[in-house]
This record gives sequence, C-alpha cells and structure tokens, in this order.
Amino acid sequence: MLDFIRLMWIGTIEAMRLNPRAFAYVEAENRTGTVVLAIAIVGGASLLLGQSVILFVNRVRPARFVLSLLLNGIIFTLSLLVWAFAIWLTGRILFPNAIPFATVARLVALGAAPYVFGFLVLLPYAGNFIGKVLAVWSFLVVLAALTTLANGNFGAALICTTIGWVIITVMSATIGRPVIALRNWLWKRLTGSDMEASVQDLLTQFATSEQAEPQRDKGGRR
Amino acid sequence: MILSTLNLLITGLILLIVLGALLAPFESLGWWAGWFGEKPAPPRPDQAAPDARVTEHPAQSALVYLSGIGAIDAASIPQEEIDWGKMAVKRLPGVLVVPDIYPYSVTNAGLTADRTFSKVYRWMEQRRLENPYDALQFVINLRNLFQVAVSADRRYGPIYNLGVANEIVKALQSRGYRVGSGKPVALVGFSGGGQLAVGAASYLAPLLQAPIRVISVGGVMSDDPGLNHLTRLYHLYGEADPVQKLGHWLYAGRWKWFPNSDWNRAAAAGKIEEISMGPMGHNGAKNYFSWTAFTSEGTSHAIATIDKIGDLLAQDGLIDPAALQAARAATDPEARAYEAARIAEAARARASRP
Repeated sequence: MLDFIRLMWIGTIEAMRLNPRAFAYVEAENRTGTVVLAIAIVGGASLLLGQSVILFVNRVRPARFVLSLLLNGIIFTLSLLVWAFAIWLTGRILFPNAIPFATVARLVALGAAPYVFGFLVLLPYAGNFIGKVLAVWSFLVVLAALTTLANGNFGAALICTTIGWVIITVMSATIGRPVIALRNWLWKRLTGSDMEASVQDLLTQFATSEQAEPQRDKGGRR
Repeated sequence: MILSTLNLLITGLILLIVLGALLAPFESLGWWAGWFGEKPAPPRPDQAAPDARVTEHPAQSALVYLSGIGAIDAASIPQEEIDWGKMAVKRLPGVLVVPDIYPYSVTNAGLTADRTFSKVYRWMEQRRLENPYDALQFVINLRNLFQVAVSADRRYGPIYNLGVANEIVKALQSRGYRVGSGKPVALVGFSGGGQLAVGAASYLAPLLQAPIRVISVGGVMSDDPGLNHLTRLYHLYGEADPVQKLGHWLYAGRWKWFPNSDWNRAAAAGKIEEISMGPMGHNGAKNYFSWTAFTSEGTSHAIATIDKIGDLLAQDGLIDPAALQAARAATDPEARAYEAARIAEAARARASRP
C-alpha cells in the first residue's frame, strides 16, 4: 500500500514537472494504469475539497460530504476519459496512427496530477488564483504528455487536445445533455443535495436589491 | 546538523501556517451547514425582531467597535484599544456604543471560549497580560488575519459576514437598539476590523433597515460588495502606517484598472473619503491609540483619533455638536492626566531596561 502511494506521489510530481521520461514510461507500461487512475480519482476528490464551499452552502452532512468527494473523484475521472476518447478519435482521423485508446487515456488522466493539490483552492482569498493556476497546469500536463506520445510533434498534440476539448464542450451542450442529467440525478441520490444553492443566492436572500439601497437618515440627517 | 534542524523547523512552521489558512474557512462554513450544532440557520431579516425585555435606548445613533486582529475575545483586546475605547465612550455623548463584539468568529465566541485550543489561547492571553509585546501574540494575529481573508473572499465572505452581522444585530438589541427605528449605525473597525465592518454591511443595512456608515481606523479593506450597502465609508489612515496600504495592494478590485469594481464605483460615487491622520503608525509607540505620541497640534494620537471620529459623526448629524464640545471640555483634564501617567510609565519602563 505504501509502495502504491509512493508511486502515486512520484507519478504526480513527475507529471507536474512535465517530465518526458515519465510520460514515455506511462505510455510504454500498461501496468501504470492503476496508479494513473488513482491519481485521477484523488485529483478529483481533492479539487472538490478545495471547492467544498458549494457543499457547505447546500448544507451537506459530514458523511455525505466524504461521499461527495469520492463521487466527484469518479465523475472527474470519467470526464477525463471522455476527453481522452475525443482526443484519441481526433488523432485517428487527422493523424492516422495505431495508438491504443488505453495509452491516450493513461496520459490524459495524468492531467489530473496538479489537481492532487486542488485542496489548496480552500485557501481564503488566494484559493481562486491557485485554482486557475492548477487548471492551466493540468492542460499543460496533457499537452506535454501528448507531445511525447506524438514523438515531439507539438502541433499535432495541440490540435488533438484543442479539438478534443471543443468536441466535449459541444457534446455536453447538445447530445450529452441526457448523460449530464443522469450524472446530476446520481449526484443528488448519493449526496442528498442537488447543489442548486450558490453563495450568490445567500446574498440575494438576505440583501435583495430593494433592501440593499442605503437607507436615508431620519430627521434631515445626511 | 543545526542547519538541517533549522530547515525542518522552518518547513514545519510554513506547513502549520498553510494548514491554519486551509482550516480557516471551516468555522464559518460548518456553522452555516449546522455541523457544529450552534444553530440550524441564521435569522432572516424579518426575524430580527427587537427584544421586548430591553428598553429602547434614547440615543439617536449607535456605534459598534470592531477590534483589530489582536483580539482574543470581545473583552480581551490589546490594552491600548481598551483604554482608548473607555475614553471614546466618554467623548462621544448621546451615542449608543457597542464594544463587545468579537468579529473574528461567526458566533461571537472568543478564542478562550469552548474551543479545541482554548487552553492554548488562555495561556497566550496570560502571557500577553504579563507582556503586551509577547512574541506569541503573532499566533493570535495570524489566526484572526485568516478570518479577515475569509471575510474578504467572495466564496466564503457571504457566509462569514452574515454571521458577524447577525452578532452585531444581537449586541445592538441587547443594549436597547430597536430594529426598524432607522437610527443610523456607525461601525468603527480597526485594522482587519475595517474589512469585517464593510463585509457585515451587506446584511446590516437590510437587517436593521437603517443607514450604515463605516469608519475605518487604519483598516485593511477589500473590494467588498458590502460597499454597495454603505451610506459612507471614512478611511482614517496614518502616513506612517504601511499596513493599511496592504488593502490597496492586495485586493485587485481596488486597483484603478478596474473602474467597475465595487470599490471604484463607490469611490466614483463619492461614498469613500480617505482622511490623513498625520504621522500615525499601525502598531508601536505611534499607533492610532497611543497616549504617548502627539500630533503637531499637541494632541495625543488616542484623543486625535477619537475626536476625528466625533467630528465625522457630528458632520453627518449622528451626534449633537454642542454636546460633543461639552464632552470634550469635560474629559480633557482626564485625558491630559492619562497621557501624563502613560508618559511617566513609559519613561520608567525605559529606565528599568538594562
């Protein structure tokens, strides 16, 4: 177990260092799949911990809070796999190759490595900025990993990554809606909250625009 | 060996600070979610009914003091702020003064109250009583500083500031302020208390249905949506106070490149007035509450700060100018005597140093 955690740690750090040797190792070794999968799930859970204000706002109970983290880890991993599939498909069409989907999936899932530190998004005030840094870092990890996979062809890697992203964005707004609805239903069943309340709702609830206007002083006060 | 131990200590300290910052939002978030069982939900505006057992105070306005980040609980604040507050009550006649808020907790629960580390904080409090400049004071400052950051954070602020506003309303009511009376309320916030005052304003205006002013004394304030709910913000700053400038540097919404930010819109609307207090500092011998440092007019910093607040309240009609002058005349001898006593005390302390 400790050895597995050590491997996860090494995989996370080397991916974040954009180390081509690490990417080449993950590409060549099928057995790295379990470690990469664990990194993706931990990344997703850690990211939700960082963004857990949404769970608190919706008054999720402690036990379900933990369940939500795990569930988000799985959902996050699945979304990475969908992205990996879009990238793999794009690569097949635009740059004919025989790279197996599993290889692309392992490398794209490594993009979750920076999100292992997603819990840092919790930090008051600095957290939002850290979240943006992690998102850019994650994209760079995927890009660097695919560049290694494409034998150093950065252009091909960038095209596949970008088109893959556009495909899932368009899909999620169109034919993917039933899947998203299913995900949301599953989320509500397991966490007990549909996460509808946002922090903004609190402000709206307690300080509506009508009440928010500064009051005029009585008795001619300015 | 020594170097590696030092490295280990520094790394451990940094990790502890990061851990403290990471845990900072949980007190208010857990309170909101009902995890700690304090209360299922904060009150809504229409629930902030006046307490029938308390007779309405005759004062025509109220002033709530929110202390700086050195506060351990509502009563245990740095001695300089206590002395200053006692004199402020005497020199601001006809104003209902509420000094007993601990704004670094959403439940007004001080650090020595029923908390996991309350014993540690009690020990620190004891050390501070023996030596006001005790180095461990920085732990308290840091803990409270993180709460200021929680208040300024747009994700956590709405929850944190609601808790503080709720406690302010309760404290006002317990002293005879009638909700719905429309009597203006001024929040005086020192240092981090300035941010907490602006943050709480988002809710205080609708909860109290009264005009809310903030008087920041060296306040470190963010570009908080609470600014939209203020009638006026006065920022008193010392020329020798670099800490209050942090608010300007750290919070992007206060930079001139964002004209549509809450801060810049409030400034453009003339709601924010920045007032120089001369060569006052944030901490140390020349701070805003000092009885031993004097302005060029010969007034101690403590009295100058109180009187500036009095002037602003009078200017806005929250205090009767004649009563204000009378109170100043009546308390001047006491203020002079206090200044002389503190100067003598400081001289004795200097003389006793090896």
